[in-house]
Amino acid sequence: MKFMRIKILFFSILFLTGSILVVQKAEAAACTVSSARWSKNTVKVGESIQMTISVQNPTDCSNQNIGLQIFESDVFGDDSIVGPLVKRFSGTSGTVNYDYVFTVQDWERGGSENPGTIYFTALPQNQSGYIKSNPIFLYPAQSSNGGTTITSFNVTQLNASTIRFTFLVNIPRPGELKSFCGADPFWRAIEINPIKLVRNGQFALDKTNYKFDFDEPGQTNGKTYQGTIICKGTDVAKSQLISCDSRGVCQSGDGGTTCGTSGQPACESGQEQTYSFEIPNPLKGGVKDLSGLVKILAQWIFNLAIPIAVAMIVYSGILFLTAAGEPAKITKARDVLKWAVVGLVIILIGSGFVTLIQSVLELGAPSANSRSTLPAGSTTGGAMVTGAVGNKCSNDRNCFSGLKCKNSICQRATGNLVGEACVGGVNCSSGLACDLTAEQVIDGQKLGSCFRPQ
Amino acid sequence: MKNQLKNFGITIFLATGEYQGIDLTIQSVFGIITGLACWFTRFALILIVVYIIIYGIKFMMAQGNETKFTEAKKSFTWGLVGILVILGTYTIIATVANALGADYTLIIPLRCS
Repeated sequence: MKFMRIKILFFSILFLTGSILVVQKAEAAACTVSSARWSKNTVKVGESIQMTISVQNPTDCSNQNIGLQIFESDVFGDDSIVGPLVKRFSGTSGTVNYDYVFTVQDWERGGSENPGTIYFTALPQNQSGYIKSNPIFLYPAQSSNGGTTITSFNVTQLNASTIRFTFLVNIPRPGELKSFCGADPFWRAIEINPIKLVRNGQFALDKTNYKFDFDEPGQTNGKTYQGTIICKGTDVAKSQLISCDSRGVCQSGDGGTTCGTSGQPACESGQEQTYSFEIPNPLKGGVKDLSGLVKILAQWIFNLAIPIAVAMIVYSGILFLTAAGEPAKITKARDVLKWAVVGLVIILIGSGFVTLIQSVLELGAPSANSRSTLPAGSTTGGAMVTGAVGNKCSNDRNCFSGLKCKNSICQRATGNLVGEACVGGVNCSSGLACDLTAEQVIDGQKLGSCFRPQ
Repeated sequence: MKNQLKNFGITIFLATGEYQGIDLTIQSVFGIITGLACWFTRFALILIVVYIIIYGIKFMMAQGNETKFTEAKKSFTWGLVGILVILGTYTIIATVANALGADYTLIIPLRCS
């Protein structure tokens, strides 16, 4: 019985040991990769980068091959760029390194449009379980464009219906660009917002300086343009953005700094850079020059002067009232009133003195904006006239003589006649009313017409 | 004594309270000056009543005395001129402005609210 027990124990131990051995043997066969990493997060074409692969158990992988394949992840499915590359584990080391240099062809195949899309897989020999590395960013080397710069890109409105585009391109190393492009590159002029091709053309790489110009029908006003040099669907050089104002005058595109500005890659250290900036006008009143500023200040002083004039006149009245017939006090009151009125006259004339002196110096010739004649008829058709009946005004001086400004339109002194413009009944002569449904538009104001009610 | 100290403490507290200035713009300066002119006009209107009464008393005190009566009459006449000027302030300004061809409808009368 005792022997039996020992026998069972012996066999049990033997069995367990055997199974452990079997398990161990099975484990030893699998070379498992624990991590796969790039040595840096971004890489340029032509730059060396190291792939590091670590395994769980070095002895399992000794003298085994490992296959490495580089991919670009894409929404349409991942594209293989390189591989498989094979590296053999030396034996005792648990990690293996592989140095790789990305070529232009790699970049074309996996064209890294977005950051963090290039990864590699590591798959040991005779295994099916692979491991993915961290994704990195592969971008084209700056030098591969042969130093191409657009030194000048100008857009000019030649006449009312023609725009001239002029490119000046400098390619110091045409051979380098040619090897990068593989074929002849294109120049291209585009309109921004929305992006629209104006024109493009192919050119042969045979010298360092190029000039392209062409005329295109159209107007530049309010548009933005950019010139680029392109090959294989990639911009190898971009000009500054050329924006044109509402009159069609475009800013100059001279000066070939092609980095740092909008739509350009960031500048590298030591590179020349252009900044364009503007200082906003701190005055919200829309004052642009010194005379405008003086006008605004004058307006405020004028506004302050009117209550003071009122106070002075009232003061003279009080002096009269309290004089009690004393001649000295009455004289003083009279003087206060007299000089208050004189002051008021000067205030009201104000800037008119300038015009007065000007007219004296011009021998009384009528100035350009004098309003001396009353035009016949209405102003709804034909040439734009200001100051006539129905035109916009802010005071009587905006209107022809004989007209006055009321409800911000010029009207006849006794009110407008039948069919003429009005804002309300007050603009019409007596017996007439304003019909707002009979709409007429003068100077952008929607006005009614005076009519005789039945 | 205790109360006094307490009050003193409150005063100190008020004095050391957060200082807040008044937002003053050119518009408010304009408003202040207009307000002063308006106040001055109202003051003048009260003065008119006061002086008419004073001159009325003067007439009464004359009691038929020739010199005193003449003096009272002269005072009253000039008083009437004063009333005319005070009440006719805007008429004067409008007349001057109109004579010069300026648009006075925007500047007077002052808005005394």
